[in-house]
Amino acid sequence: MKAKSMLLIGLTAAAVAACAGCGSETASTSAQAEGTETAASGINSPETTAAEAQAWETDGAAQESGSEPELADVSDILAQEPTGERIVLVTNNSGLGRDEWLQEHAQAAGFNVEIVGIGGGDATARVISEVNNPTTNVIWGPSEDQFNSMIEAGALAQFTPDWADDVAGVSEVNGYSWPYEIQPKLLVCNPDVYTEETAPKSYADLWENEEFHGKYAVPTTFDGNTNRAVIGGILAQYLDPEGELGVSDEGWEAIKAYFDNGYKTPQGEDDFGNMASGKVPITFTFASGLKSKIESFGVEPMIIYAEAGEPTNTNQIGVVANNDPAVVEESMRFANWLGSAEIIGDYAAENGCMVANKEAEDQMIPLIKEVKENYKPQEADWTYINSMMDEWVAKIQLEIY
Amino acid sequence: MSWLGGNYRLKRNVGFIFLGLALGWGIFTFLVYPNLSLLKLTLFPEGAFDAGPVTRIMASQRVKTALLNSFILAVCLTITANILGLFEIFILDYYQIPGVKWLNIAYHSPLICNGMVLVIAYNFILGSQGFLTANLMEANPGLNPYWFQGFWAVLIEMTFSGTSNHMMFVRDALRNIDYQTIEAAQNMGVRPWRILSRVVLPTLKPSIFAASILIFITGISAFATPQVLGGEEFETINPLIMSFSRTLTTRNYAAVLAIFLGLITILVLMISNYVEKKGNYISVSKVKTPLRKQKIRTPLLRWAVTVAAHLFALIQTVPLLFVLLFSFMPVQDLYGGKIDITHFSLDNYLAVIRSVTGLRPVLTSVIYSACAAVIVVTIMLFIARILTKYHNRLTGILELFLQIPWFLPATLIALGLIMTFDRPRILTFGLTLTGTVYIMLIAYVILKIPYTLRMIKAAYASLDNSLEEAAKNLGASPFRTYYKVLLPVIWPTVLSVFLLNFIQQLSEYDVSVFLFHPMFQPLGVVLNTATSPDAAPEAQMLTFVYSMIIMAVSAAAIIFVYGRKNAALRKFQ
Repeated sequence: MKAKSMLLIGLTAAAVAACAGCGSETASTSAQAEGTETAASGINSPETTAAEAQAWETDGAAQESGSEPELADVSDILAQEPTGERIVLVTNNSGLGRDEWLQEHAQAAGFNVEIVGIGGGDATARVISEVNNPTTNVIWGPSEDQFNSMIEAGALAQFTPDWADDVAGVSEVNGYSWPYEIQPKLLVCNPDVYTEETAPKSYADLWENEEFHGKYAVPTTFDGNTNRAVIGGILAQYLDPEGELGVSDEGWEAIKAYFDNGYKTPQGEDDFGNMASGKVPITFTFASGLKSKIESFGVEPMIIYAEAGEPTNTNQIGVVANNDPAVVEESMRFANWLGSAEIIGDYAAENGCMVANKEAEDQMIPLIKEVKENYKPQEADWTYINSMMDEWVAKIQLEIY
Repeated sequence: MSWLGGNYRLKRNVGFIFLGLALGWGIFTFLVYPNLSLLKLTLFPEGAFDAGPVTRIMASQRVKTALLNSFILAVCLTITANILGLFEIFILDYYQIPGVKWLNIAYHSPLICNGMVLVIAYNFILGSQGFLTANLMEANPGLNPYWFQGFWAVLIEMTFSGTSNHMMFVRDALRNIDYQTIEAAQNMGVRPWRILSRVVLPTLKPSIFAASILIFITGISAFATPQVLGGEEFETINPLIMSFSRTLTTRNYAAVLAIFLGLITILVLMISNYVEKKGNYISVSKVKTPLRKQKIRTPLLRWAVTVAAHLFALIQTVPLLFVLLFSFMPVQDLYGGKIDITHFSLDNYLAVIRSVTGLRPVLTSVIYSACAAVIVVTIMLFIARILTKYHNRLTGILELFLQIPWFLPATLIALGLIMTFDRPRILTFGLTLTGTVYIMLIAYVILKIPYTLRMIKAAYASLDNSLEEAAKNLGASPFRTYYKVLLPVIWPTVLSVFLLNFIQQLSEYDVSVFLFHPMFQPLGVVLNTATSPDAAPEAQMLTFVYSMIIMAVSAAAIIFVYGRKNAALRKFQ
């Protein structure tokens, strides 16, 4: 009985102390917490205007990085030699020996970089959630949409690379993250099964035309950029401010028909492999995936260029805000080096990606050069589409898929 | 203040207060506060409860079906895994069956293979483009290539990979049975089947009970198996929760669904706690005689049992053999459903070794998992002791809090920690934990609390009270009684819990991906990065290499721990 009451007292005391602790703490850091909360829910809270968010972020980033976001300063920093300060690069471009390639080149250029390979969505979530105490310094690979949410959370440092002019016009300038790669999502089909006449002409063909039913692969997961862009590309054609979640009834029916009549590639099958074998002869891929997929499955697909254009995003690079100016400056030099025409050109030649830097275009592989000439970015309000994407995907997962 | 009277009492109580404070602080700081604040942030985004997700979820036919499927799966799995698990431990320790050494190894195989990889292996053998399916279709072109998909496929895979708790805990209980009771029954002329059902099984009840709860929870929160083998017609709820928890604006859906799942889990746990309290299953034997193996007398039955025993052993080991084969294969052959030895190479192994992380993740994961396992077992030894000794409202609430990690998605637990500790907190004495090497360790410990608590509580429950009383009467201090008398008795269970915790966390991914320190990437993260949809097809082959490494480490751990466990068991027999 004694021991029991002791325990009771102990636990109660601990709980009280802890509650008191967090109470005072909440008060002292409430301003900061509020900021984080606004940032975290910024995407779905319409009252926070982009301008407000931007203003807050800029302040935060400037404070955190400890460096004035003046252009002159940044170019001074970039002109200096690498100090060899250790920096951490988080990227989804680390597979298939790309990490070794990068580390070798970075070392030769005088950088001391630790490469951490995780998926684009995970990398983004990590940078955002670590906003107050970052462990990564440069983030390379996520899409501009993902970078926008990092900027909104105040997780990035403002910087302008030397090659900013060479990527001008590729994506909207935000002052924080810069494109190095253009990533159109391509509808592809097996050239032995379809000719240019018999192949589908657009996404809508797939569900409207019965002969394609069951012949095309649809997304089976919803957190990857490619899958989201394809869904966005379809719903973009049915935007209606009056409709549910900004999409007309017709649009929801279309996406339902798209999923109902498509092939949900089960695990253990590969959608590109199925296309190559003719089992499910139509699928889609991100452009930079073409090279390795063709090498793996031995079939060069016919690319279908739809009239509406291809849902396209860019993959970007940014510097994570940090309290240590030395780290931020070295990170900027590294990001500047990695996105430069010479390095990104080499990278594109090895890995088959479509570069954003026009000085590096010559180094792209022939297949990608051809894609670059023929594709057309689908025109739509992608900022709006991306802001609605989570809600759309939730609806699709709950009601349609 | 009479309790301050004796000096000894005082010391003991100060110790108790200190431990109580430390415990209360730890549970509140790391388990309750981060999770509650994240739930508040997700469910009350603007201070008010957002009912949207709840109504949406209630209206979704897909969610209803998935919840029902999860429940059905959990119930069926509890039955099938129990049947298989009991069959296997009886084969190993109760009946005389030829080839028991090999069976012993085979039956332990589910312990060493990472769940996701095992499912992937199943799929590449039995799936629509699997090796067996390809061969079957050659013999019978009319076969549906998706024959191994849906509820039965999920149930079969999970049954055969769900026997580890039987192997580790129920088996110990069986080995601890006093053979004299069986002999006595035999002498009275009781038939073998009746001895089994009336004498042997009732003594196993507490451990079967504990194993059943764990299996039920495995079933209801099944993730990898339904995702891979369930197909469109058999979806469960957890893959949906995971998918929602990974995007910012749909985390509230994940939280709502997790609470649904949590309510079911709590209900089951409450029923089980009630039943556990009611039942009184203490072994009364003081001087135990070791179990002697029985011969099955009917020849036909003996044959049938032998064949079944070996068949099950094959089913459990063949997928692992395939993982080994896959690790030498090029990706084209894997997706093509053909095994061609001339294409075998060490390329996949070289790719792993050459990557910039190399084999460092193996060391990282071994250290983290081992530390977490030691810490969680130590803390739970203490807490479970309190919970078994004192039944009151406070301990009831404490136990409920300790179950949180069982039903909250791992992603949310990770985010709760990362967002709570990303600045100096009074709770952590002004330290910032996010970004340090410690936060992932804390998360690993948290994830294993419910399981460890459950198993160690069951071990305490099966303790013979007279042991403790005898020690007390002989004048031993409570600490000495515990350390010298009680702990040695439950030591084999402690070792088993440690082993299972260690092995299961070698490939942990869900919390690791948010919490790992960039210099120390754990195996689960490199393994999953290789299988992500962004990864090139070739990169996926590295999964099998990492799996082989995990299996090797797990096997080494099993051998190490079993050596100690057998020594401990021998001491008591």
